[in-house]
Amino acid sequence: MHNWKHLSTSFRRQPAGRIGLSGITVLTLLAVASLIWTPHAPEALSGPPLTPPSLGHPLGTNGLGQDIFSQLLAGCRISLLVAVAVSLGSAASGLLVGAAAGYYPRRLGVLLMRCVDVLMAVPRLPLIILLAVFLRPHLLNIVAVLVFLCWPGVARTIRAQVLALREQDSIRFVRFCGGGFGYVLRQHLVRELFPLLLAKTAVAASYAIVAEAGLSFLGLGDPTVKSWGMMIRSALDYPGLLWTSAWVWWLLPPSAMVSLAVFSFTLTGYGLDEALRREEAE
Amino acid sequence: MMLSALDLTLKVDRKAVFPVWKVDLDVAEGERVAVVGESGGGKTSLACGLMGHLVPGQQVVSGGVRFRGADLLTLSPAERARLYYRDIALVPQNAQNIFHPTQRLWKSAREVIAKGKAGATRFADVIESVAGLGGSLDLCISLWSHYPHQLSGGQKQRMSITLALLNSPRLLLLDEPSNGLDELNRRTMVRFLSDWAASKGASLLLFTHDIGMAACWANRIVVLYRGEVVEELPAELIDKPRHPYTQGLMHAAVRLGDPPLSRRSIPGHAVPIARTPQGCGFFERCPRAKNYCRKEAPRFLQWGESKVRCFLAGDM
Repeated sequence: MHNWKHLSTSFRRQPAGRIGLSGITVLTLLAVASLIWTPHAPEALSGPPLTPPSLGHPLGTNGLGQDIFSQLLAGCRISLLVAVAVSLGSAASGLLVGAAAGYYPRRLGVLLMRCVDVLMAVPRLPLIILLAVFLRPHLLNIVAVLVFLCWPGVARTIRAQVLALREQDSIRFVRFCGGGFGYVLRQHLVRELFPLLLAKTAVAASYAIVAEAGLSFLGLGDPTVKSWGMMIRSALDYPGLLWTSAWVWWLLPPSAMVSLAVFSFTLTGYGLDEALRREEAE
Repeated sequence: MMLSALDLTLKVDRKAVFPVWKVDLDVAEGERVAVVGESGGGKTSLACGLMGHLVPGQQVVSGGVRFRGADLLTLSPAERARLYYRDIALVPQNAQNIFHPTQRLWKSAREVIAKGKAGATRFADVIESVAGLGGSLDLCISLWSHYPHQLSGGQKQRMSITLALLNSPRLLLLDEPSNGLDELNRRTMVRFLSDWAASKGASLLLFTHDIGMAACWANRIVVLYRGEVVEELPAELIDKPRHPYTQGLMHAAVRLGDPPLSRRSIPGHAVPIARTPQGCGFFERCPRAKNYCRKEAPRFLQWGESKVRCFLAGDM
């Protein structure tokens, strides 16, 4: 049972939740702004290579003469897109599988949970690399791989909740009156599971941003989209970058943005978790 | 015949315990039947068994339940789910908790109405169908836009009864409906349900431990002792019971004006039937037990207007 008012106040009372949420808001605003306006086109050669920051180029230019600030804004779009897609995908599939496993605990539940156990036992990074190598380097494939890795954790948490919820008198009554799995899930379970799902989603989003950056860094990302990971990689590919002072405005900003995004999502997830736990303790 | 159970026996899974033992029960069109017995006597198991929706962990050993020609025990779950809360309704024992805790009450009512007919989805439609029933039970209309935790147990109890009546069922089973209701509310509920049943021609089946309420409510009273029907008698004859268990229940009932601790109780407690009984099930607790009661099980025989399962019923 959740009281939305209590939950949101208790979330907003914590500095962690506040900071995380404002970080996400800033990133979202940047991403939206980049759709409308960037100082230069991100792919255009807008000046001489390796220009230090100036008024025309707030963060200077890279080795090809592209504006780094514009690329940073455009990359924000991609990273957030991956984060949102992965978190939504894993939340949806985790909810469906977890709820089914919790609702039918005898056979289907055991079967599904053993699959989840197997998926969770496989080490993540080697699996990502393996899948990314064999699939075409495309943004959609990366999202699919990350969803595939994220949903088992969500499913397991949701199952535990549904197991408890289905024994509630109100849910038992709805089932008695003839509500099937789909009906109970839509009308009664989703509203109870939503805050938990939100917390899980935030954690999955932060993981997705890191994983995307990591894949791009390893050269397994989508070369056609300029994400933060791709920027880091192209900076590190530049011969002798660290001998010049260009790394300060070329390598540092995308890394800082990745850290900022992960930091915000993690704090939000932590704040939500904490708010839920407090509500439970009351 | 609206509902008839024949030789219904229920067993607990993986245990030789029988909460309901060879129960024959008929409920005619428009009849009001009360099943009384002490806690652990198998009332709830019987109520759920009669619906074909067994208490989790129980199974049917033998017998059948027919509701207007359909065997409730062999219907598919989907068909049964279609019957429930449309043709048969059950107010369960824990009726106060059947409302979803974070959903306004009228939405719960809407879910039940949506079973009967499509279309009633707006607040006004729901309130319209709820108002008449709830009003007779002293339920204010504004209560329906509250959340369950804002209401008292008695209000929720009455609301759950309203919920059961929404689709005008042909048969209504009530498992301890007087939970959380005071004397006045109980009286209102009894009168309202009797009027409702009379106007709709519906049958009522009441499961209760309150023998006084059963007597003023029902046409016929069925006394259940550890899952077995021991006596079946018209409500007018409740003052002259023939079975010693029913007599014990009558003696134990509290009445106004009694001096403290004056009522007699029945010694011992009911143990569920664990195997095919040898003698009379009430033997250990019976004040009039004879030696042969232990050896031979009495049959369920007609004595005047009532039916009794006792050798000594004729001595009354």
